[in-house]
Amino acid sequence: MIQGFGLGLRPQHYNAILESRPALDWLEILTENYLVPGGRPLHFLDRIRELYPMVMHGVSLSIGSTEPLDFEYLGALKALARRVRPGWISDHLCWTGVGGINLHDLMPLPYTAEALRHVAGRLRQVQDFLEQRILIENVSSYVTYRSSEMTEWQFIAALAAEADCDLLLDVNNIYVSSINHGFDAHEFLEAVPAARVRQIHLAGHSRQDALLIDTHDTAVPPAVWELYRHAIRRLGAVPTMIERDDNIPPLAQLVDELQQAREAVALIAVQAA
Amino acid sequence: MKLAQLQQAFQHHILRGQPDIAAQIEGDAQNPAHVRLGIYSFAYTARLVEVLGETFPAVKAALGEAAFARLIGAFVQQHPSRFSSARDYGADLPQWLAANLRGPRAQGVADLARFEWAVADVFDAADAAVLPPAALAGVDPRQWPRLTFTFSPALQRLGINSNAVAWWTFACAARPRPGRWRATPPQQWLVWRQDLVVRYRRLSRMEAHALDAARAGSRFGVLCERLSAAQAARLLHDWFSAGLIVATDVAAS
Repeated sequence: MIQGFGLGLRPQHYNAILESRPALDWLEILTENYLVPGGRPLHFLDRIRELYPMVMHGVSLSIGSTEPLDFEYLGALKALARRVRPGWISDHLCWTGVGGINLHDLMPLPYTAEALRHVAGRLRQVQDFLEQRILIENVSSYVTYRSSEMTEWQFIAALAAEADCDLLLDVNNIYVSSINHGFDAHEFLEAVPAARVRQIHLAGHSRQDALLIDTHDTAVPPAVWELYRHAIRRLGAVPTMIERDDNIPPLAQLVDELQQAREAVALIAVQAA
Repeated sequence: MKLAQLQQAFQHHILRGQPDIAAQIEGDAQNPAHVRLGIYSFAYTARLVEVLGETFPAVKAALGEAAFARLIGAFVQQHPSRFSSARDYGADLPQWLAANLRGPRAQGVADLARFEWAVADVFDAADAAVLPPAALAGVDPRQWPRLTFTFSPALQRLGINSNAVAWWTFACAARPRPGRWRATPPQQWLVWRQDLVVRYRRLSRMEAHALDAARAGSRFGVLCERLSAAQAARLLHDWFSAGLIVATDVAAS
């Protein structure tokens, strides 16, 4: 049972985790980092898994692509899950390429009835194959398609119901997209089906002219913490972690940063009592 | 526009700069559609250049950051990734460098990229329990001539025709910077992983031939025909000590 507060496991922290055994409730691994034959990544994965519960987070599912599902990838994912025994598996609401090409990016979908049917059908197939529900994460985006027929949050709520999947709510992504597209981030949060949200991501971003870019290279900024407090007021103490993928600081600094999430949840619990 | 067409048009924009997708994107005076789309196009090249910089740190250090970004940016433009993991994206780079670079550094940079790809490959190649030298003690002396060997999957052999490895040790092992790129007579190198550490060493021509033959399934008796028995035994001891051998077998007579 995954509860409490975690961090994304990064190779830079392997030794620090084994030596200092920080007070983390769980770790999230990047699935693709461990879809390798052997060596250092799997060695450290196994050693650290002995100490911490884990969840698996992927970037290659491409659930929204119009390409056929990649069952070779899914088979490898399932085999890794047998090794890791994760609390759950997650990936993103996006497409990553068509025509056999991988853009290695989380490309946004149009929020249309056609896309909803398409993604929900594929999600059901994936969940059947993996023999478990998975979590789908909202992405940061920089474009809105003219063809969209509903909001992102309406699409996500409908998808969760239609595919019977769970959700990974990335609060930073909600914030970034709200600025880039001019919507109210609180409206997004209010519309999310609370019972399906099983994990929260927090991260930093950067500014490029008038747009925010989801860079994961800074500390979680105040505006994202503010939105997080709003999220947990509505959703409760959902397992929460910080994602950091660039300018990665020492482990202790991230553990300290995570303390803010613990304090936010504790404060809201006191206020609610 | 149907979902499939939309995705194709967006991908064509990123890979080839085709503008058809722009009509499908909302924009305003502050952030017009082309600016928004440009974020994806820029990120595509930047991300793959960054991935290759992590896989080929010595090529990056040898060329310098700006020249690396220019050169590798051209590779990325010509080579859309067909790999599910970005880890594998560098597979074609050494060959591309060999075909596309000109001038005195061409051979060296291509060799360096091949060397780095070998390092990357053995880093996370499959695990296999290696046999210690003591494993040979139990072999019946009459069976020695028919002994064959299975080598670790975390092993790569390569020929290098330049001072590329000096550039690698400069970038990755804090050794002095080589003066200039230069061609050399053929050198034989072994890159392998022992425990979790990637190791490398230059082989003599004799050892390279023996190792290649043993990896291809030659019996110990055949190796001894080309070397003295003492030389062959010494090589075998070195290979076991380095963790290169994972199994032995006795071939049928």
